[in-house]
Amino acid sequence: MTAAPAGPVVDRAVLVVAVVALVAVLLVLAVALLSGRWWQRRAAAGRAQRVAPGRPLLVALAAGDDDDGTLLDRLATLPRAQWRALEPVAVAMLGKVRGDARTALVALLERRGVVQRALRDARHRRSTTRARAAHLLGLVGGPGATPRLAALLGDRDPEVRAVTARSLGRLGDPSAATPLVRALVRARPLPHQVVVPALARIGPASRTALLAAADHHDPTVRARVIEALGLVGAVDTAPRLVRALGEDPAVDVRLRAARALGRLGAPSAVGPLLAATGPDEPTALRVTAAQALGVLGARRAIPVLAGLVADPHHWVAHTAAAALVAVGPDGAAALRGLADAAPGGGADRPASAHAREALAAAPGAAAA
Amino acid sequence: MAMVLVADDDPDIRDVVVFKLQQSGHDVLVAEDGGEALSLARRALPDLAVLDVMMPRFTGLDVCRELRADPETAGIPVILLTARAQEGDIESGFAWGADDYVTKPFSPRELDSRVRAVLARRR
Repeated sequence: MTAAPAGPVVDRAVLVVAVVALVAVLLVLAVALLSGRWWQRRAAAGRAQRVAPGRPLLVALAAGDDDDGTLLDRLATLPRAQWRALEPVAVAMLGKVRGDARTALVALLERRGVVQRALRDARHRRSTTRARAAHLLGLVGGPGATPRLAALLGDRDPEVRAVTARSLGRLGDPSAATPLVRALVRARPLPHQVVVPALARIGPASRTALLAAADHHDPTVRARVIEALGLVGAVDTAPRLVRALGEDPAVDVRLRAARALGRLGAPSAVGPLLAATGPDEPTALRVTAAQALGVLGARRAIPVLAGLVADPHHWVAHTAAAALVAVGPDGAAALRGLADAAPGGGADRPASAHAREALAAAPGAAAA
Repeated sequence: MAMVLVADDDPDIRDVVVFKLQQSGHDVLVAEDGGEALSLARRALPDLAVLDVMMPRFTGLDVCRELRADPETAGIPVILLTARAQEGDIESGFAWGADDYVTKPFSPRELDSRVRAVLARRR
């Protein structure tokens, strides 16, 4: 008879201790969670209590009901504890109203020293405080706000830089254009989606600042600037973009110029974009140029795009077919001609397949 | 004096609009979302509705469409309050039968004038 293999020996006492410890930990966590919630509710109730006396005054001020300045005086002299609770409400309201209402709220924040504090807090060691200061300065504006915000564009914290860019866009001060462009092209750049809306709100000064950076020696910088010109919607910069598309030594810059020209929709871009689809050009550029011609809706490009549908390079042919659909009814008609040319096979088979695929992806075009 | 329905999920905006309209002598009904706005409008048949476009449950556009679809409420003028001053929103608003729109950030004084103008046109 053979003995059964011995299983792992578990000390019963150790098991009991482990279970008790686990239960204790769970209890501590539950107590911590409940007391945390209780504390939050208590703090919120306390805040609401402190806000309550001043909020109706603030609402009346924001509604523009303070012709004699009485409300402003009363709010400016509220006890500090009440004001501390009310201040975030006043700041939030500032972003929601304009006209007299906004002017009254700014006057209140100035009387309470909030604006001066924000100018100081822009240099605070805590990044959340700096970000809050940048947000407030963007809402209030006034003397000193733009230079202080421009300095914050170089902040070590990316969140602070992003808040600052948005604030500068909100202020729309032309003098912020150059610092914003610098933030777009430096070694640790701010993303386009943060900087471009700010530049777009600033307007013509942004174009000047972007154009000044468009001849930078570094192709990465040129590429970012060229892309921003398209995103900002600076139609009058189309000649500079056409030059970048035709002459820039860096393919990435040419590619972004093609994309920007498509976005801008400048008719003068059609010829240069057609040239960029030529067989000697880099494939990525040919594809982007074909796409841009579709975005432009250039009917003049139809014969060239139709020819490209038979291009030996799959990516080029596929994009040209999709671009024909984007051009509109005439482009779709050209595609239908290609699709019908060789339905069953033959030398034109790839072109026909690309055409049918593009038409299938746009049912309206297929049925037209 | 008219009865105006104000619907906005943002308490700050709601309170400012309500204050301004009450100050101008209107009776104001208040809703915190689109669903509440719709039921209040059906029940009280206000003279005008100021609706925020972006509200939970029903947007201002949904409420506007529902009001227009019901013969009882089809005649209530609507002013849309929208944070998005984009053509698409404005076009959709007018397509659903809105009478006017005000973009945020808004001027309470301007909103008050628009309310008066729309009410005057309907009388």
